[in-house]
Formats: sequence, C-alpha cells, structure tokens
Amino acid sequence: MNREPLGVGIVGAGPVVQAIHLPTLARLPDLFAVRSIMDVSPDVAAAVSGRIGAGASATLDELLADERVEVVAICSPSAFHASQVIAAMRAGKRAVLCEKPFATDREQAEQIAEVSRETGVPVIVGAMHTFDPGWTAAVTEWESLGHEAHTIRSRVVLPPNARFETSATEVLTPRPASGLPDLDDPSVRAGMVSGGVMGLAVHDLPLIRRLLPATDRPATDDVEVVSASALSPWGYELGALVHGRLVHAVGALTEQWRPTWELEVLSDTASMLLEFPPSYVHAGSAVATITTGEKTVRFGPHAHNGYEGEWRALHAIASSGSAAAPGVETLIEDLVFAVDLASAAAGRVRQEEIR
Amino acid sequence: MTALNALNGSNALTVRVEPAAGLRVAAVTAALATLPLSYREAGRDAEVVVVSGEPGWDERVRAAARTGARGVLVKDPVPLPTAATLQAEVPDCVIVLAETWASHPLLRSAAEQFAEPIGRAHLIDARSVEPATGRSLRAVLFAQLRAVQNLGIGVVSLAIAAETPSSILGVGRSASGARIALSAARSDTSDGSLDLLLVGRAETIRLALSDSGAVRPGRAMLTSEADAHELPTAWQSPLRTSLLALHDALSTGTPTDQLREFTEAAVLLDPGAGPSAG
Ligand SMILES: NC(=O)c1ccc[n+]([C@@H]2O[C@H](COP(=O)([O-])OP(=O)(O)OC[C@H]3O[C@@H](n4cnc5c(N)ncnc54)[C@H](O)[C@@H]3O)[C@@H](O)[C@H]2O)c1
Repeated sequence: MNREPLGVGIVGAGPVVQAIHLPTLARLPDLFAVRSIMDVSPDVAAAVSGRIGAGASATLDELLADERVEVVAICSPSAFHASQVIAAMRAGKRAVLCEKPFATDREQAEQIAEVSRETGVPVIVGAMHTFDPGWTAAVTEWESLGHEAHTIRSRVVLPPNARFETSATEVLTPRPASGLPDLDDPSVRAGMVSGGVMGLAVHDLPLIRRLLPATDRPATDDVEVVSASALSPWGYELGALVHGRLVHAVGALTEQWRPTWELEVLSDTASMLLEFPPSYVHAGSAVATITTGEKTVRFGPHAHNGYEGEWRALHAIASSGSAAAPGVETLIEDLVFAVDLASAAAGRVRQEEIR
Repeated sequence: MTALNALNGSNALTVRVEPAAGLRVAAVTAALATLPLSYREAGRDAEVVVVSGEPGWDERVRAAARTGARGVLVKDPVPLPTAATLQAEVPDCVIVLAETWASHPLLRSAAEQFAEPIGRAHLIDARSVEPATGRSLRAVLFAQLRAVQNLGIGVVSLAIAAETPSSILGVGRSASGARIALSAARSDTSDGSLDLLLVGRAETIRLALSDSGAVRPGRAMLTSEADAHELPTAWQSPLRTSLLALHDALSTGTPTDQLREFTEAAVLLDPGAGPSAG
C-alpha cells in the first residue's frame, strides 16, 4: 500500500481541469500530488501548473518520461483520448483516468482494452455520475429490491457552462461564444445530436445500461432509435428502444439560470428519480428518491459528487493493482452503446422534417 | 334578483348528473357541493346536464339538448374526430369539456401570463405516469396533447414513435416549429400528475398539474436569465374549474370553442394508427 501521495500527470489543461480536477485534487492531498501538466498550448500548461506549484511539460512524451508521474489523467479534447490513454499505458504508469468519452468509436475502445490487457494498466473513465454516491446508494437499493425498469427518461437543461466554471475556479481560458446554428442544414443537425449524445447524454448512458441490462452474455445492446431532433441553439431530443424498453432523453443548453439534471426510472411497482447537480460545481452528490407503494426513500445528498469518487477509485486501483479496477469490458460496452446511439440518432435527425 | 336571492343560491342553475358507466358520479357531486351558489341539483328538467365522456358522448349531448338543457358538461371525453360539428347541431346548448389536465386552472393562467415565452419555446416535453389500472396509454397521450393545446400551442403534427406494453412516446411539431415530445409510462407509483417542460433559448417553463379530481394545487414556474416567476397556486380541481366555466358561459352568453381543438387533437392522434416516424 502506497503511503505517499501518488504523483499525477495531467494532459490537457482546459476548463475541466481548472474547474473540476484541480479543486477536487486540492481536497485529496493525502492521496495525490500533481507533478506535471501538459497542454498543446505551453502558456496554458505553464499558467495552470504554476498555480499549484507543479511542473509543466512541453510534450506528452516528456510528461510520461517523468518518473514522479505515477498516474495520468487525460483531459484533452475527445479526439485525442484513445491515443493518449494508450501512450500512458505503454509508458508503464500505474493507472489512467480518462475524461469521458474515452474513445470516439468502437475500434479505438477495443484498442484501449487490448493494450490494457497487454500492459495490465487499469483505466477509469471520468463518467462522474457512475461514481456519484447518491446514485450508487440508490441503484444498490433498487437492484436489491429486484425492480426491473421498463422506462427511463432523462432531462438535462443547463445554463451556460461558464456560470459554473467561474464559480468553481478562476478560469484562465474562457470559452469562445458560439453563434446560432443553421438547423436547416442536415449535417449541422446530425453533428449537434451526436455531439449531444457523446458530450452530455453520455454521463447517464452507463447508468441507463446498468438499469436496462441485456438479457444475453456477452452483452450486445439491442438499440433502436425511434425519434431524434436537434434543438436551437443547442440541444437534442432522443427516443430509443433499448432491449425493447423506452428511453427518452432531452438535453439543452440555454441562457436561463436554472440547472435541471434529472433521470427518472420506472418499473411496474417502483420509480426512482435522480437529481444531479450540474457539472463543474462541487455541490455534493445527486439526491435520489425511490418510491414504492406508500413510501418514498431518499438517498443523499452526500458531501461530494462523483469527481471525488473517480479520483478515489483511481487511487484504489493504482494502489492495489488492476484486480480492483472495473472491468474494461464494461467501459467498452458503455462506449459502444453511446457510439451506436449517437450514430443512429445522427442518421435519423438528417431525415428530420423540421417544419 | 334580490341580493338575498343570490346569497341563497336561488339564482343557481339547476343541474342533473346523468348516471352512466364510467362516470365518477361521486367526483362530480363532490365538485358541485363546492358551488352551492352556482348550481342546485335537480331532476329531469335541469338546465345543465353532466354526461360521461365514454364512447357515444356526442349522442348524450344531443339527447340532453333535446330535453331542453342549456348547458352540457362532458366529463373525461374520449377522442372523437367528428366532434367539431357537434356545437352547430345544438346551437342553444353550451358544451364544456371537463378534461384531466387540460381543464386545470393553472394551464389557463400560464397560457395567459407566459404567452410570449411559450411562443418562443423550441421544445415542449410532457411526461406522466399512469397506474396499471388507469387509462390506455394512448388516451393518456391524448390528454397530454390537450393540455399542450390549452397552453396556446398550435400542434400541427404528432406521431407515435414507440409503444411498448409499459410505455408510449409521441413526437411532433408546433405551428411555430417547436419539437413536441409526449410520453407516458405505467407504474403503480403514479400520482396522476402531468409534468410539462418548455425550453426556449433564454427561458424555461415548468408546470406540474395534478389530476382532474384533485384540489392539490399544481405549480407553474417561468425561469429566465435573471430571475424566476411562479404563478399563484390555485386550490381548485380541474372539474370545479370546468363547472365554473360552464356557469360563466351561460350567465354571460359567451360561447366556448373547445371542440375545434379537441377535434384537431383527435385527428392528430387517430387511435387506429400504428407506430410511425419520429
Ligand atoms: N466530467 C465533466 O463534467 C466534463 C465536462 C465537460 C467536459 N468534459 C470532458 O473533459 C475533456 C476536456 O474538456 P474541456 O472543456 O476542458 O476541453 P477544452 O477543449 O476546452 O480544453 C482542453 C485543453 O486541452 C488542450 N489540448 C488540445 N489538444 C491537445 C492535445 N493533443 N494534447 C494535450 N492537450 C491538448 C487545449 O489546449 C485545452 O487547453 C473533454 O474530453 C470533455 O469531453 C468533462
């Protein structure tokens, strides 16, 4: 058991690192110490690492060559995740945390799994809701009571990210403002809906898969997208049958101030409602309620959300070896589920009649 | 009319509740009991007749009009694609529909007070849960559609996108191009309420409407960039609201125009149609 804090290397130092990971790591000084930060922009790497007294690396190779770096967090844009995760594993690091989504297609996901098996380096995906203690407590109860979900509905309506980022840290690299999309263009609609699934809905897709398990093994998800729509200025509406059970999801980024992040799960005799805080802020866990018959039982709020949970999980697997790691198969199945949904929804939304 | 007459309720309309299978007579009687100045129960020659909205309700309306009723309240009318012409057939009789959710008092105030943001919404998402012993899921979707219409939203298309033994999803568009999604699922944990979410670029509106018999108030909240505006709660069931609307229409002579949109909804959600494109 490692008694010293584990040395952390961070790849990509954008708003997610500044607002999510560094404040989380600041609460876990006994477990982690950030040693090096790398970004394609050397100025960003220097400024962000300078804030916490860590070193800056100019390249990924330099960061990986640093022996003080024992675990690596990949926080670059999604397109780079797979190759950087693989490089970190091949460099013999003890464990890798990759921001969601950890790959952009099935092939990449399988490569990661292959290298993880080959090198024995475990990987965790930063899907923070899967680590949220409100969720884990509620789903344990739900499963122990034997409830079988037949309908899941998700609603995510958020104010601009900047509102949360600026209350979680002092952001160094503000996001560029985006204009209004041209939803008359089918490829704009397709990009928005698949981006919505891979960027926002993706947080809850592992939860949905867990609640709607496949009946066969190895699990193949039987997914049929039955409705898809792009929303202005940014959002999606998505309906799907997953193993014959209804999943309906809406997500939107708006200018109004109220964040709504809900997942509603229904069975014949029970229902579960999960209310998550928005991303970036460190506002504690989801509050979950399970209603059966005449009573409602509440789980949470716990003091921390899944951000702390994912780092604690990383520490556990890095300290005790990959046996403690979640199966890489589950990560692949979760990713393939998201990719399949995103591409089927994109295909459907291209055909959408928008008037 | 003397003031005392009014206080005694002697200006009340006489009302007869037609016993029929499926009509929850007790609920109507209970609602009438909360309007002692407006209504007085009477027998055959009542001015107002309350009929069940089970299949054949148009025939019940015609029959009531033939017996001289000035007003008919139809409780929980099932979809009827031919309802549009009914009012013209009985010109001397005011027809008011008492619907789950669609007759909710909060819906009308939201339609009036939030009219502009409602018009700017890009997404209208309606969700409810129905008990195992409740209505058919298509009937629930119809009731949701009626509530959306009563928010002042013109619905131009709607199709069933998915239907399983436990749930249903319908999607469509409003006249202004907003995406409409209606979904219902079965669970015994149902509290009978309808949850409506409207999302625009800079506002959201959320409404929670209790079921038709309940006096439990709903909630209507408009959230914008800088603040939020909640409508006052109305401690009045949708059924009582409909009875008052009928009384108003008869005392002021103002005609009601519910049947046109009701018919449009019935045509959009033709019960014979199977799952179709979304
Ligand atoms: N868990 C959450 O709540 C959450 C929320 C939003 C985003 N995310 C995920 O986190 C990741 C980062 O998000 P972000 O908003 O900070 O992204 P971003 O694109 O704003 O910033 C990423 C940073 O990576 C740098 N970069 C670009 N290419 C690089 C490369 N090849 N190698 C190293 N650095 C590179 C950029 O210069 C930038 O500073 C994304 O994968 C995103 O999907 C997670």
